[in-house]
Amino acid sequence: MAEYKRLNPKCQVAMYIYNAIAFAVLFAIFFAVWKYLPEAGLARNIENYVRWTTYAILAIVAAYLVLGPVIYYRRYRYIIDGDKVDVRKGIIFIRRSLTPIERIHQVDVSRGPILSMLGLANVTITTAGGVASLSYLEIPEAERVAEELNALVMKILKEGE
Amino acid sequence: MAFESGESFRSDATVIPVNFAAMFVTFGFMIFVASEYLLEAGHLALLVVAIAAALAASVFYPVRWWKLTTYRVGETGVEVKRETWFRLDKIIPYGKIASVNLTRGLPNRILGTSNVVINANAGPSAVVPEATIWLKAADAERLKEIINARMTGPGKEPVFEEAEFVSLVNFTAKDSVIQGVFGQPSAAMFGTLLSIALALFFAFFDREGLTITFVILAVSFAIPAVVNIVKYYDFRVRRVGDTIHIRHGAIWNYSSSFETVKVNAIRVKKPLLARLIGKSSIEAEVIGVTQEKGERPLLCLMVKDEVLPHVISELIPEFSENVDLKKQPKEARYPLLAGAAIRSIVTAAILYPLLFFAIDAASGEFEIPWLISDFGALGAVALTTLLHFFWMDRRMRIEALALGDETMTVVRGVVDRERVTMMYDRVQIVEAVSDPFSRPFGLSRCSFSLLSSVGATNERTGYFETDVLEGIGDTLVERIRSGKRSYSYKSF
Repeated sequence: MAEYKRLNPKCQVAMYIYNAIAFAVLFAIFFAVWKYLPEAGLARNIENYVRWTTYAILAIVAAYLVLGPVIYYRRYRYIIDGDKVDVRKGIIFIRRSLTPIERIHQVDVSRGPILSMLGLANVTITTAGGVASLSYLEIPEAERVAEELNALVMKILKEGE
Repeated sequence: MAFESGESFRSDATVIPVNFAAMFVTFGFMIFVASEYLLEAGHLALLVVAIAAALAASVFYPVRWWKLTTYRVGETGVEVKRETWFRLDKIIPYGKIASVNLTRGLPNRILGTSNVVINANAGPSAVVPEATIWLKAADAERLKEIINARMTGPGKEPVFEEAEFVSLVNFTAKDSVIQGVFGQPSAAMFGTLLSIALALFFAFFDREGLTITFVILAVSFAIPAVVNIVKYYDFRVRRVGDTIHIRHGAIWNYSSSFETVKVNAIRVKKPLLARLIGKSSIEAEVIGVTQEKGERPLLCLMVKDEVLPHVISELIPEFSENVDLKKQPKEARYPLLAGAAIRSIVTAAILYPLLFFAIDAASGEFEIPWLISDFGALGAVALTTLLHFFWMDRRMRIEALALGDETMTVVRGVVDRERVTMMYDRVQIVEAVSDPFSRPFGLSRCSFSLLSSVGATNERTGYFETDVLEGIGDTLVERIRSGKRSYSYKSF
């Protein structure tokens, strides 16, 4: 019986880099809001409300971005046996997705510059009705998973002929 | 006949003037828009050249397109060959064809022709046809049946429809009207009512408000209703063997045939207005059969609720399994309550300051009744909060799930009720999702990805036991492993 596999701890680094970029973008937007707010000619109480709301949003997002990768890494589990791809993941919402291998149409391995730098890759599994994914796998593991899935799909196709 | 003998054939030549007219109108509009600038700038010669070029292209291209585009009903599939500047050489394998439909618009009616529309199984081809062939009406009917027969399997003889299409249910013009008026989503109806109320309110101050009321009523309710009445006029449906045939339409005729194996799910729809008169309609999730953008084919116009099970068991018994609908467990109330509370807080955080500041600003310029100035913002927040909790309560009572041997059924919809019955063997991905408020009670929601008429769709359940929902995925895999499935990989 195959056992659930976990991700390499390096995935947290990748997530922190993505989160830092997302936070920088959000901060830039809010910074612009804070800078131009006094010039907007709003009443003092409205201005204060907007300012404190953005502070609160930024604090919540920052907490999520800091804690998220650790929780995501701890929760992430996946298993591929001869019949299915089973993935458990999530931070606030925990998802268990199950994709029967017979339904798979296409398997792609992709990685951007940040994932490449850390030796990680994503595997995208396309079915006729939706897409499932395995994220932050080490490159050799991602390629092995893709090869294994493609081989299983080909086997099913040949059995069906 | 070219279809049976495997010879190449072209669309009927009457397609040339139709394409000419379409191109001429398009170019004409572009030139009309540009003409003002060209004349102002004194480029009369350029305008004349543009008109001449558009006219030449409108004549030249449709003729060339017609002459150089050929079709062939081959051994393995329908072949399409185009040798214009935009070359095309493709075979649509019979095994990949989801449906062959006939459509007849006004030009077709005038010229005595029909369009044979071939849809493939998956991806964008499920919505965009793989091929559209313009033929004389009788030839189109014949070609449709030949392709239908080849889709079913090698050596299968085409069954040509008899002149009289006897429908399983006799629908009258009144039924088309009921479908057109009562079949509209309630969101459109509420939007219309709200707009009318606002327009009437302003009509007290300005007579033009009344005109706006009628315009809103026409655009958002009356026109779509009339379009649907015309579209579903003379609706007929029947099942012959394992093939369902549908035909309807007054000006724009639609005729479709598809095998029942291509039906992934059926959707019994009861918009609010329809519920008031105790009627429901049936839609089908059939790969590759869309009537218009994003629209699923109707299997049955609105019929009385007590007649509906009989229609399903006669028309598509594969989806008439006897199942016990299970309501959400009582613990589901807690995540639903939490959801309503979060939505209420977010709504209050946005709505209260907006209204408070708006009323504050307005009170400086207008005389506002003390009730609105003192309690307006608070009242609106209280009202939306009540609405969120009422919605939650309705969801608790309505959402249900039934797991049968071959099918599963999901019921949902606070205003517009839907009962979706889908085959286990058509589900592509199962995903159970729990949140911090449902986890302590061992509850999750579940979504099923499946192929649909509009490409792909996700069906979601309410809150049920996580074990039960995760078990659906295991059931799916177990059916595949044991060979019990009715799903064929090759068909997708």
